[in-house]
Amino acid sequence: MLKNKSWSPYMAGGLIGVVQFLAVWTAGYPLGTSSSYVKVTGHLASFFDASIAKIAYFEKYMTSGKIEWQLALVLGIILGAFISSHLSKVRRGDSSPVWKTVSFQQGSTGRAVMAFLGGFLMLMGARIAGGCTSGHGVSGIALMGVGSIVTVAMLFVGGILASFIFDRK
Amino acid sequence: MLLLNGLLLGVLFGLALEKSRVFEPGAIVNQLRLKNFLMIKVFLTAVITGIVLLHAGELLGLFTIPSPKATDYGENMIGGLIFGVGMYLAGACPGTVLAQLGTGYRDAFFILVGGLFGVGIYGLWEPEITSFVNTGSQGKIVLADLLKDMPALVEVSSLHIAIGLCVLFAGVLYGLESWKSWQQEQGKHYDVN
Repeated sequence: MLKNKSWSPYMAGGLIGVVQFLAVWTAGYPLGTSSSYVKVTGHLASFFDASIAKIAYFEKYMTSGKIEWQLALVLGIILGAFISSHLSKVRRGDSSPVWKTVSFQQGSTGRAVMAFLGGFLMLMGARIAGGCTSGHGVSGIALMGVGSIVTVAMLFVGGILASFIFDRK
Repeated sequence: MLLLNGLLLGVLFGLALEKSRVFEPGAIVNQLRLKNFLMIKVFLTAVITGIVLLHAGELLGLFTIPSPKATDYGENMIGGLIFGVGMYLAGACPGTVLAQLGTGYRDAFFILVGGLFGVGIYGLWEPEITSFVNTGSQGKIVLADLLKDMPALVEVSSLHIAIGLCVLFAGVLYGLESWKSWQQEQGKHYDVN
């Protein structure tokens, strides 16, 4: 089963639900990823300027036990995807073919700039909203939080609007 | 111990993301183009399973279901909108970009660096940005709280809403799957289109 190239979305989604259950039961935290970016950024930036660690927003995330657990979780995601693709012997290219149809940038430098910009907006938006597809999405909707439902609805609105504007036909 | 716990659960999470191919840029971009519904299928299945197992765990006395994040309509709406645009341009979200990194997509590295800068700028200007977008925290409200102020003909509890959501989401999944099977959406090879 681990060597299969793919699973049905129902089996994979079910496993994510089981991971959610185990996370709440054994660690006491629901799934989430975007807070760990604040911790990593805080540590990297304070390496250059120690005063950044004293900024209240960074300090909160840099000293929280929950975020340490979450950082281990996101490192696990990298490892899990690496192991999974190696077990099924899937070797993906440097760049997904779909990226050629997004935006007006075609070369690899242009793509790198768009990837940077996309990552920038994605994480800044997630922090303004207070969570991402995992924290607000998978966790927040299962917890029936009103703010999470609003965030996920708006992220679809934003993404669908962007696809109208930036699609290269 | 807690770190080992996080790492192991992350490995399972990453495995599910890779095996379903939902982490691929093609799956994410084409979901936002409303051409491929693999992402919604994985997502709603994870939510239904989560709701059922969390309620089962609470009934068995293993834990109490945690409260959701606090609601602030301004922050949630504006943040969600910006997030969505970035998700389309990146072809990733904060969790799936890590799976992309693990499977060797080079572009994922630039998304990650962009993300760290986005968080950095937000962190530096957090008080200013917050005062600009926030409309006042409503607290950690759940769907059932919205019904409290309405004249109710029948008493609706969180459990009723949980069951209702599961039925609704299962119906959506049934409809999507009848329209286009997941095998068709995944295609024969990697890099979902």
